[in-house]
Amino acid sequence: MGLAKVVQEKASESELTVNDGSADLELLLRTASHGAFVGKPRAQSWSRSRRYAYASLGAARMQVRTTLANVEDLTWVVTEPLLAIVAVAILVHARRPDLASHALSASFLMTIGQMGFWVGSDVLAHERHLETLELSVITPTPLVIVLLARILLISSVGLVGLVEGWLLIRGLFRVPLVIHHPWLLLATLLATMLAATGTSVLMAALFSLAREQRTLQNAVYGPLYLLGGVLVPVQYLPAILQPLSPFVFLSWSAELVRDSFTPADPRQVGLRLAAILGLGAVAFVLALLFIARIVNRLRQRGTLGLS
Amino acid sequence: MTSRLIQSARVFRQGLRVGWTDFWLFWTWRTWIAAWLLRTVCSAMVWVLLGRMLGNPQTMSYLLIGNAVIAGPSAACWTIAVSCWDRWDGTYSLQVIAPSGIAASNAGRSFVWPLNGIVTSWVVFAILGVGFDLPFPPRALLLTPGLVILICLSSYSYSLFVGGFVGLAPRLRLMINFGSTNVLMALAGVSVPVSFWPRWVGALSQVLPVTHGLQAVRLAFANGSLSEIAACASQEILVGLMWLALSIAAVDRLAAIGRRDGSIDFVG
Repeated sequence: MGLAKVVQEKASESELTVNDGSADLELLLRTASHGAFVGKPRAQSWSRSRRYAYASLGAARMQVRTTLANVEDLTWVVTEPLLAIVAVAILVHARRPDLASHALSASFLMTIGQMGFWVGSDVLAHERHLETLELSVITPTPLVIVLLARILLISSVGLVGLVEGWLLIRGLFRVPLVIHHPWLLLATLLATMLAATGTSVLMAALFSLAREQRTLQNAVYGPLYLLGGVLVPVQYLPAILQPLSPFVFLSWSAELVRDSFTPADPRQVGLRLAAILGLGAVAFVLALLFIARIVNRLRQRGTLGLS
Repeated sequence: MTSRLIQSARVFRQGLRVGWTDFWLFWTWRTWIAAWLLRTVCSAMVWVLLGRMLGNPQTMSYLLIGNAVIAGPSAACWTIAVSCWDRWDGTYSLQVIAPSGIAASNAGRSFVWPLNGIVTSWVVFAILGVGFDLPFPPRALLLTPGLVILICLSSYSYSLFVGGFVGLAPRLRLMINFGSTNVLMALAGVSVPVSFWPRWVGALSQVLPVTHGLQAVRLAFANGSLSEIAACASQEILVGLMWLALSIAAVDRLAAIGRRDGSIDFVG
């Protein structure tokens, strides 16, 4: 087959993707994952999974080095837990130290949120800025796998917020914080980390094309923390806002973290954990669709390298 | 001396033009409302709702006033981060070696942030006040806008001083910026009275911006006497002037460290 013929066929394939334009799920997934999910034999699928796992490890290792070399990434790990001091001071002053778990959930969720929604959502835009996005896109590993591994690592750093909050509350105020349901706390931390990762991948995809990336980041996290009830349970929100809260994974996480520090047996744990994971999964699937579309468009317009 | 002052004022004005243009390149009125204001109102509201959860209207009003006021200094504290922006623009070294020094140009460039803080605080006060039925006595209505200006300016002076040190470690700028805001939230009487803290912490808060000005605002809301309000406002002015004098004395000297060790163009 002559080169011209190959080029022509590739062009017509590409044309099919563009002109179809109907957001066909299978086609978009195929583009997002370079065929990760669709129509391959099982043996190949296994070796591909190993390759992806290897690539994920490489991406995570690269992110560790990037973060260690750039202390800015750790800004929120230092600043957000300080708010636990403010919250516990208010609670102790109001003679309600028994509510200290609210301060702890705020410290944890705001740290993990800021790591994901701010640092994590920067990753794709940063790749464009550094002009390394082309290299990431043309590698055999789907871009989304690399992105997922890097943002998962960034989100996991946010777990430190819980430890810091706990140390600050115990160290400065001597307020007892007894974990009555350690397994529930552990499961909530893991589910929250995964959901924060899924949501941050979506934000990374959405923000990567925007000129006003920082503006969008600013717009997102304030409302998310309010609706997520990270410090104050959702029932204290204005009635008009309350129906929105169940769609924010933080609201489920905050309640479960607080329940972990309450002696009473928590109820509907499985359902609530599933809600966190489900919302994270929905965000991730949306991210897959967006990334496929964005990369497709950038490649077709030849603007991949233009930031 | 006079000619030097006039020269510094000219540099400040030019810096302000740059800062103003820079600010409105980043924000438009729409994005300012939809992103900046929305985030600030939501953040303040979380604390007011904590007061609601505690079931005490006085605590709620206390947190509302404190957080509406601190919205201004939070914006003014961005001066800390702004002190490093010239490094990325490649104009930092030019300012350091300029005959007028970097203090006036940096102060001018970042002055848009306390202005932003003043407007932010006014709007947050209005939104939360109306939203949570905060009674506005005539004295508070009359004096609070002016006191907010005072508080934002003293926070700006403090931020100029801290910003001078951040110039030595630009990558820590956001950490120190947000850390400073959180320290003010904890210690300056925003969330709990200064008397809540141990005596030595209380003594520290006396030299922090916001503490006295916020006390004046609280007195205005409690229909306190004008002489008491004036005393608190004067203390806030003194604290602001102290930080301004310190920043004038320190900023150029701190920048000179970079000249000596050859690190002006490096962002370490």
